[in-house]
Amino acid sequence: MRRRGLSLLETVFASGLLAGIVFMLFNLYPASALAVRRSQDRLQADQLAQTYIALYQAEPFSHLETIQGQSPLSLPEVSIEGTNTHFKPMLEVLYGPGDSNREVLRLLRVTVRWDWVRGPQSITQEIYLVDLAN
Amino acid sequence: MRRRGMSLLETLLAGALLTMVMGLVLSFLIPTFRNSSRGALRVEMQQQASTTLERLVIDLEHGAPASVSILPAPTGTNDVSGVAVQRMEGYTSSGAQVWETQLIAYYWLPKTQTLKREIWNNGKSPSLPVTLLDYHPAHITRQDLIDIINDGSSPETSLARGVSKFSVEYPTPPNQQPYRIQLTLERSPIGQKAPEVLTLDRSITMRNLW
Repeated sequence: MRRRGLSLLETVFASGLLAGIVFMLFNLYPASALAVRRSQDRLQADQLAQTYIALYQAEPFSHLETIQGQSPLSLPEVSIEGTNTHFKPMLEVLYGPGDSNREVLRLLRVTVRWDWVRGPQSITQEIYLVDLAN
Repeated sequence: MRRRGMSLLETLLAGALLTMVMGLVLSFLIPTFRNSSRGALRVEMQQQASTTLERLVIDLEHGAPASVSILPAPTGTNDVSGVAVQRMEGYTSSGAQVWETQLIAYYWLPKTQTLKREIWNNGKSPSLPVTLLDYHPAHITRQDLIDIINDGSSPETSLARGVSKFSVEYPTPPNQQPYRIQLTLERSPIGQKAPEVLTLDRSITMRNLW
Protein backbone atom coordinates (compact mmCIF):
# COMPACT_ATOMS: atom_id res chain seq x y z
CA MET A 1 0.00 0.00 0.00
CA ARG A 2 1.27 3.38 -0.92
CA ARG A 3 1.02 5.81 2.04
CA ARG A 4 0.73 9.45 1.28
CA GLY A 5 2.22 12.14 3.55
CA LEU A 6 0.46 15.18 5.01
CA SER A 7 -0.88 17.69 2.54
CA LEU A 8 0.29 21.31 2.66
CA LEU A 9 -3.11 22.38 3.95
CA GLU A 10 -2.99 19.85 6.81
CA THR A 11 0.54 20.91 7.74
CA VAL A 12 -0.38 24.60 7.75
CA PHE A 13 -3.52 23.89 9.80
CA ALA A 14 -1.61 21.78 12.35
CA SER A 15 1.12 24.42 12.68
CA GLY A 16 -1.47 27.16 13.13
CA LEU A 17 -3.27 25.18 15.81
CA LEU A 18 -0.02 24.48 17.66
CA ALA A 19 1.03 28.15 17.45
CA GLY A 20 -2.38 29.21 18.78
CA ILE A 21 -2.14 26.85 21.77
CA VAL A 22 1.44 27.93 22.56
CA PHE A 23 0.44 31.60 22.26
CA MET A 24 -2.52 31.08 24.62
CA LEU A 25 -0.33 29.30 27.17
CA PHE A 26 2.30 32.02 27.07
CA ASN A 27 -0.41 34.65 27.54
CA LEU A 28 -1.94 32.79 30.47
CA TYR A 29 1.38 32.54 32.25
CA PRO A 30 1.97 36.22 33.10
CA ALA A 31 -1.73 37.12 33.30
CA SER A 32 -2.31 35.45 36.67
CA ALA A 33 0.97 36.73 38.12
CA LEU A 34 0.13 40.24 36.93
CA ALA A 35 -3.37 40.03 38.38
CA VAL A 36 -1.97 39.03 41.78
CA ARG A 37 0.59 41.83 41.68
CA ARG A 38 -2.08 44.32 40.62
CA SER A 39 -4.37 43.34 43.49
CA GLN A 40 -1.45 43.76 45.92
CA ASP A 41 -0.78 47.26 44.56
CA ARG A 42 -4.47 48.15 44.94
CA LEU A 43 -4.47 46.83 48.51
CA GLN A 44 -1.43 48.92 49.38
CA ALA A 45 -2.81 52.00 47.61
CA ASP A 46 -6.02 51.60 49.65
CA GLN A 47 -4.05 51.43 52.91
CA LEU A 48 -2.07 54.50 51.87
CA ALA A 49 -5.23 56.49 51.09
CA GLN A 50 -6.79 55.44 54.42
CA THR A 51 -3.59 56.44 56.19
CA TYR A 52 -3.62 59.94 54.69
CA ILE A 53 -7.30 60.28 55.60
CA ALA A 54 -6.42 59.31 59.20
CA LEU A 55 -3.53 61.78 59.26
CA TYR A 56 -5.72 64.69 58.16
CA GLN A 57 -8.59 63.58 60.38
CA ALA A 58 -6.24 64.12 63.33
CA GLU A 59 -5.52 67.70 62.24
CA PRO A 60 -7.54 70.66 63.53
CA PHE A 61 -10.39 71.73 61.24
CA SER A 62 -8.74 75.11 60.69
CA HIS A 63 -5.77 73.31 59.10
CA LEU A 64 -8.10 71.76 56.51
CA GLU A 65 -9.32 75.25 55.60
CA THR A 66 -5.69 76.29 55.03
CA ILE A 67 -5.02 73.23 52.86
CA GLN A 68 -8.15 73.93 50.85
CA GLY A 69 -6.41 77.00 49.44
CA GLN A 70 -3.63 74.79 48.04
CA SER A 71 -5.95 71.98 46.89
CA PRO A 72 -5.30 69.74 44.96
CA LEU A 73 -2.13 69.11 46.90
CA SER A 74 0.45 66.57 45.68
CA LEU A 75 1.79 64.53 48.61
CA PRO A 76 5.24 62.92 48.66
CA GLU A 77 5.68 59.81 46.53
CA VAL A 78 5.63 56.57 48.52
CA SER A 79 7.43 53.30 47.75
CA ILE A 80 6.41 50.20 49.67
CA GLU A 81 9.09 47.84 50.91
CA GLY A 82 9.34 44.69 48.81
CA THR A 83 7.79 46.21 45.68
CA ASN A 84 9.02 48.62 43.05
CA THR A 85 5.74 50.45 42.70
CA HIS A 86 5.78 54.20 43.34
CA PHE A 87 2.51 55.56 44.65
CA LYS A 88 1.66 59.20 44.00
CA PRO A 89 -0.96 60.43 46.46
CA MET A 90 -2.93 63.62 45.98
CA LEU A 91 -5.14 65.40 48.50
CA GLU A 92 -8.17 67.54 47.80
CA VAL A 93 -10.20 69.47 50.36
CA LEU A 94 -13.59 70.53 49.02
CA TYR A 95 -16.86 71.95 50.28
CA GLY A 96 -19.78 69.60 50.91
CA PRO A 97 -22.46 68.84 48.29
CA GLY A 98 -23.84 72.03 46.77
CA ASP A 99 -21.38 74.04 48.87
CA SER A 100 -23.66 73.41 51.88
CA ASN A 101 -22.56 74.09 55.46
CA ARG A 102 -19.34 75.72 54.31
CA GLU A 103 -18.40 76.74 57.84
CA VAL A 104 -18.44 73.26 59.34
CA LEU A 105 -18.31 70.66 56.56
CA ARG A 106 -15.45 69.57 54.32
CA LEU A 107 -14.95 66.71 51.91
CA LEU A 108 -11.52 65.15 52.14
CA ARG A 109 -10.54 63.21 49.02
CA VAL A 110 -7.33 61.24 48.62
CA THR A 111 -6.43 59.88 45.18
CA VAL A 112 -3.50 57.51 44.83
CA ARG A 113 -2.02 56.97 41.37
CA TRP A 114 0.60 54.55 40.19
CA ASP A 115 1.98 53.21 36.93
CA TRP A 116 1.21 49.73 35.78
CA VAL A 117 2.43 47.68 32.82
CA ARG A 118 -1.01 47.99 31.24
CA GLY A 119 -1.48 51.70 31.90
CA PRO A 120 -1.87 54.07 34.85
CA GLN A 121 -4.00 53.02 37.81
CA SER A 122 -5.72 54.99 40.56
CA ILE A 123 -7.99 54.63 43.57
CA THR A 124 -9.91 57.32 45.44
CA GLN A 125 -11.10 57.43 49.05
CA GLU A 126 -13.33 60.17 50.44
CA ILE A 127 -14.60 61.20 53.84
CA TYR A 128 -16.75 64.06 55.12
CA LEU A 129 -15.37 65.89 58.13
CA VAL A 130 -17.46 68.06 60.42
CA ASP A 131 -16.07 70.76 62.69
CA LEU A 132 -17.59 69.66 65.98
CA ALA A 133 -16.19 72.69 67.80
CA ASN A 134 -18.64 74.91 65.88
CA MET B 1 1.86 -7.40 3.36
CA ARG B 2 4.62 -8.06 5.86
CA ARG B 3 5.25 -5.03 8.11
CA ARG B 4 8.68 -4.61 9.57
CA GLY B 5 9.29 -3.26 13.08
CA MET B 6 11.28 -0.17 14.01
CA SER B 7 15.03 -0.26 13.58
CA LEU B 8 17.37 0.52 16.51
CA LEU B 9 18.25 3.85 14.92
CA GLU B 10 14.59 4.79 14.60
CA THR B 11 13.93 3.83 18.22
CA LEU B 12 16.90 5.87 19.44
CA LEU B 13 15.86 8.85 17.35
CA ALA B 14 12.29 8.63 18.58
CA GLY B 15 13.56 8.37 22.19
CA ALA B 16 15.82 11.40 21.76
CA LEU B 17 12.99 13.39 20.16
CA LEU B 18 10.60 12.44 22.94
CA THR B 19 13.17 13.46 25.58
CA MET B 20 13.68 16.79 23.86
CA VAL B 21 9.95 17.45 23.62
CA MET B 22 9.43 16.43 27.27
CA GLY B 23 12.33 18.65 28.28
CA LEU B 24 10.85 21.59 26.44
CA VAL B 25 7.40 21.05 27.91
CA LEU B 26 8.76 20.62 31.44
CA SER B 27 11.04 23.65 31.15
CA PHE B 28 7.90 25.62 30.45
CA LEU B 29 5.66 23.88 32.96
CA ILE B 30 7.97 23.81 36.02
CA PRO B 31 8.39 27.60 36.29
CA THR B 32 4.67 27.93 35.61
CA PHE B 33 3.85 25.62 38.54
CA ARG B 34 6.37 27.50 40.69
CA ASN B 35 4.85 30.84 39.81
CA SER B 36 1.38 29.50 40.26
CA SER B 37 2.14 28.34 43.83
CA ARG B 38 3.88 31.67 44.49
CA GLY B 39 0.81 33.51 43.19
CA ALA B 40 -1.55 31.41 45.30
CA LEU B 41 0.59 32.11 48.36
CA ARG B 42 0.64 35.82 47.60
CA VAL B 43 -3.16 35.89 47.31
CA GLU B 44 -3.52 34.03 50.61
CA MET B 45 -1.11 36.46 52.29
CA GLN B 46 -2.99 39.45 50.91
CA GLN B 47 -6.28 38.08 52.20
CA GLN B 48 -4.87 37.26 55.62
CA ALA B 49 -3.12 40.61 56.00
CA SER B 50 -6.07 42.72 54.87
CA THR B 51 -8.59 40.76 56.97
CA THR B 52 -6.35 41.01 60.03
CA LEU B 53 -5.76 44.70 59.56
CA GLU B 54 -9.45 45.43 58.95
CA ARG B 55 -10.41 43.52 62.09
CA LEU B 56 -7.85 45.37 64.19
CA VAL B 57 -8.85 48.74 62.73
CA ILE B 58 -12.54 48.09 63.47
CA ASP B 59 -11.74 47.10 67.09
CA LEU B 60 -9.49 50.13 67.58
CA GLU B 61 -12.06 52.47 66.05
CA HIS B 62 -14.58 51.21 68.61
CA GLY B 63 -12.15 52.23 71.36
CA ALA B 64 -10.65 55.50 72.46
CA PRO B 65 -7.03 56.43 73.17
CA ALA B 66 -7.65 55.85 76.89
CA SER B 67 -9.04 52.35 76.27
CA VAL B 68 -6.13 51.11 74.15
CA SER B 69 -3.13 49.45 75.82
CA ILE B 70 -0.10 49.24 73.55
CA LEU B 71 2.20 46.54 74.84
CA PRO B 72 5.50 46.33 72.91
CA ALA B 73 8.20 43.78 73.64
CA PRO B 74 11.08 45.08 75.79
CA THR B 75 13.68 46.78 73.57
CA GLY B 76 16.15 44.37 72.03
CA THR B 77 14.12 41.23 72.80
CA ASN B 78 12.24 38.94 70.49
CA ASP B 79 9.38 38.46 72.90
CA VAL B 80 5.61 38.61 72.68
CA SER B 81 4.04 42.01 71.97
CA GLY B 82 0.52 43.18 71.41
CA VAL B 83 -2.30 45.60 71.85
CA ALA B 84 -5.46 45.38 73.95
CA VAL B 85 -8.60 47.43 73.50
CA GLN B 86 -11.73 47.90 75.56
CA ARG B 87 -14.40 48.84 73.04
CA MET B 88 -17.15 51.34 73.53
CA GLU B 89 -20.63 49.85 73.45
CA GLY B 90 -22.66 53.05 73.08
CA TYR B 91 -24.10 55.95 75.02
CA THR B 92 -26.63 56.23 77.81
CA SER B 93 -29.68 58.45 77.34
CA SER B 94 -27.81 61.15 79.25
CA GLY B 95 -24.90 60.98 76.80
CA ALA B 96 -22.40 59.10 78.98
CA GLN B 97 -20.16 56.57 77.27
CA VAL B 98 -20.82 52.89 77.99
CA TRP B 99 -17.90 50.47 77.66
CA GLU B 100 -17.89 46.73 77.00
CA THR B 101 -16.77 44.67 79.97
CA GLN B 102 -14.39 42.65 77.83
CA LEU B 103 -10.93 43.18 76.44
CA ILE B 104 -9.90 42.33 72.90
CA ALA B 105 -6.23 41.42 72.83
CA TYR B 106 -4.12 41.12 69.68
CA TYR B 107 -0.71 39.59 70.23
CA TRP B 108 2.20 38.55 68.08
CA LEU B 109 4.31 35.53 68.96
CA PRO B 110 7.64 36.05 67.12
CA LYS B 111 8.82 32.50 67.79
CA THR B 112 5.89 30.90 65.96
CA GLN B 113 5.37 33.98 63.75
CA THR B 114 1.64 33.99 64.46
CA LEU B 115 -0.73 36.82 65.22
CA LYS B 116 -3.68 35.98 67.43
CA ARG B 117 -6.80 37.62 68.81
CA GLU B 118 -8.23 36.74 72.18
CA ILE B 119 -11.19 37.98 74.22
CA TRP B 120 -10.98 38.31 78.00
CA ASN B 121 -14.02 38.98 80.17
CA ASN B 122 -14.34 40.10 83.76
CA GLY B 123 -14.16 37.20 86.19
CA LYS B 124 -12.62 34.90 83.61
CA SER B 125 -9.37 33.06 84.29
CA PRO B 126 -6.73 34.40 84.76
CA SER B 127 -7.88 36.91 87.33
CA LEU B 128 -6.27 40.18 86.34
CA PRO B 129 -5.53 43.06 88.71
CA VAL B 130 -7.91 45.20 86.60
CA THR B 131 -11.70 45.15 86.63
CA LEU B 132 -13.40 46.27 83.47
CA LEU B 133 -16.05 48.85 84.20
CA ASP B 134 -18.78 49.87 81.84
CA TYR B 135 -18.40 53.55 82.75
CA HIS B 136 -14.61 53.88 82.60
CA PRO B 137 -12.08 52.34 80.19
CA ALA B 138 -9.12 50.41 81.58
CA HIS B 139 -5.50 49.80 80.70
CA ILE B 140 -3.64 46.54 81.15
CA THR B 141 0.08 45.88 81.46
CA ARG B 142 2.27 43.63 79.35
CA GLN B 143 2.33 41.11 82.21
CA ASP B 144 -1.50 41.00 82.16
CA LEU B 145 -1.35 40.23 78.45
CA ILE B 146 1.17 37.44 79.04
CA ASP B 147 -1.08 36.00 81.77
CA ILE B 148 -4.04 36.00 79.36
CA ILE B 149 -1.96 34.24 76.69
CA ASN B 150 -0.54 31.63 79.07
CA ASP B 151 -3.85 30.87 80.75
CA GLY B 152 -5.40 29.68 77.51
CA SER B 153 -8.95 29.60 78.86
CA SER B 154 -10.24 32.48 76.70
CA PRO B 155 -11.22 31.80 73.10
CA GLU B 156 -8.43 32.71 70.72
CA THR B 157 -8.36 33.05 66.97
CA SER B 158 -5.28 32.69 64.84
CA LEU B 159 -5.38 35.60 62.40
CA ALA B 160 -2.19 35.31 60.38
CA ARG B 161 0.80 33.02 59.94
CA GLY B 162 4.31 33.97 58.87
CA VAL B 163 4.10 37.35 60.61
CA SER B 164 7.62 38.79 60.72
CA LYS B 165 6.59 42.18 62.09
CA PHE B 166 3.60 43.54 63.96
CA SER B 167 3.52 46.86 65.72
CA VAL B 168 1.06 49.47 66.86
CA GLU B 169 2.57 52.85 67.69
CA TYR B 170 1.40 56.33 68.51
CA PRO B 171 3.33 59.56 68.17
CA THR B 172 4.85 61.02 71.31
CA PRO B 173 3.54 62.37 73.64
CA PRO B 174 1.36 59.32 74.43
CA ASN B 175 -2.25 59.11 73.35
CA GLN B 176 -1.78 61.47 70.44
CA GLN B 177 -3.25 60.49 67.13
CA PRO B 178 -3.05 58.90 64.63
CA TYR B 179 -2.03 55.39 65.59
CA ARG B 180 0.22 53.57 63.16
CA ILE B 181 -0.14 49.85 62.49
CA GLN B 182 2.53 47.88 60.64
CA LEU B 183 2.06 44.29 59.60
CA THR B 184 4.59 42.29 57.59
CA LEU B 185 3.96 38.76 56.39
CA GLU B 186 6.87 36.71 55.10
CA ARG B 187 6.35 33.20 53.78
CA SER B 188 8.06 30.90 51.28
CA PRO B 189 6.18 28.64 48.88
CA ILE B 190 6.72 24.90 49.46
CA GLY B 191 10.07 23.80 48.03
CA GLN B 192 11.27 27.34 47.37
CA LYS B 193 13.66 29.40 49.41
CA ALA B 194 12.98 32.98 48.34
CA PRO B 195 10.18 34.31 50.56
CA GLU B 196 7.22 36.41 49.52
CA VAL B 197 7.03 39.59 51.61
CA LEU B 198 3.92 41.69 52.08
CA THR B 199 3.91 44.82 54.23
CA LEU B 200 0.79 46.76 55.09
CA ASP B 201 1.17 50.11 56.80
CA ARG B 202 -1.91 51.92 58.02
CA SER B 203 -2.72 54.81 60.31
CA ILE B 204 -6.02 55.37 62.06
CA THR B 205 -7.57 58.21 64.01
CA MET B 206 -9.96 57.25 66.76
CA ARG B 207 -13.06 59.37 66.82
CA ASN B 208 -14.14 58.41 70.34
CA LEU B 209 -12.39 60.45 72.98
CA TRP B 210 -12.11 59.94 76.71
